[in-house]
Amino acid sequence: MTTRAELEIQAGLTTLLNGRTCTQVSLGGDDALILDFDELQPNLEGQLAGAIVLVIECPWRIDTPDLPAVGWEDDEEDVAQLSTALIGGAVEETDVRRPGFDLTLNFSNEYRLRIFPDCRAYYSDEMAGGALPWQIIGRDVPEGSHVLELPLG
Amino acid sequence: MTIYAFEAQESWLPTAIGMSCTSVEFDYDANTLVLSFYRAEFGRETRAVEPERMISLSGVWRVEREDEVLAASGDVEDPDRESHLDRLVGRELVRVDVSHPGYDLALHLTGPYIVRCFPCDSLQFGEDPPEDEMFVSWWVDGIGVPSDWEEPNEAFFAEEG
Repeated sequence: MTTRAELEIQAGLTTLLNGRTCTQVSLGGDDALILDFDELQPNLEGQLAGAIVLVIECPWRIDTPDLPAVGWEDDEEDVAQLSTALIGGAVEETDVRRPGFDLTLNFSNEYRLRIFPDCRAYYSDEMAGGALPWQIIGRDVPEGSHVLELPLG
Repeated sequence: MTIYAFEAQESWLPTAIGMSCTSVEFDYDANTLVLSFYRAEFGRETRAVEPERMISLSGVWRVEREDEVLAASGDVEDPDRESHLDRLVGRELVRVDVSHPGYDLALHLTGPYIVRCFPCDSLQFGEDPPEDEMFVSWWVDGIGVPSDWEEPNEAFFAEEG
């Protein structure tokens, strides 16, 4: 499967986020930001994981209506603290803008998460390194959806 | 307050509309992409002269053409990046969009090509950052543009009002 095809599948999976409540935010390996949605249950590694998990491994920013709250280039300490503002908010709207596959999530608590992939390798099969800028995984993702390895902290 | 710097820089962007891109260079030391612009009647041979406008993008950016991503800030070792960036040379800047609150920048050039910049360091939007931490992810330089990032283009606001 081409990288581009995998991104199209991920874009289709974003509809699974609609109406779901963010229940956990954490940092994974390679500076990944991990958002869990809905009920947390122990996964195979014994860690609590939501029914749907959004893993982000590229630049992102969380905005309030007036100002950005925190972003990918902020100190890790600030990211860990400020990104938890999303917890308790439900996803009201998702949007994927091509060709960059920029993902935007609008939350009920007026926060907005913007994701901005920053590598041509994500879209170019000759450069494909097997990585995706963001991906949706979890127990509520239908079987057969192509997923890559979750970066663990 | 760097939010004032963003507001001021936004006011200088329209002064580059209608100009042609004459060079695109990436400064590895400063991690900054610099696009130079002249009025359409100037040719590429004028690139030794100070550009009428330079738009600099620092941090996270991407270049798109229709359904294709040509280059991006994360591709520091992409051997084709320079040649892809050169495709912007000779293109006219036809529109600029700045979306708030993040001051996401989109430069629309003929082709059509789009150059996007995505500020993602919240210090840029701080209330009162230390002087040595004052910065913005993109800015405008050139003839008649003040070096003070927070000095706006008064004509822009007069037109808006």
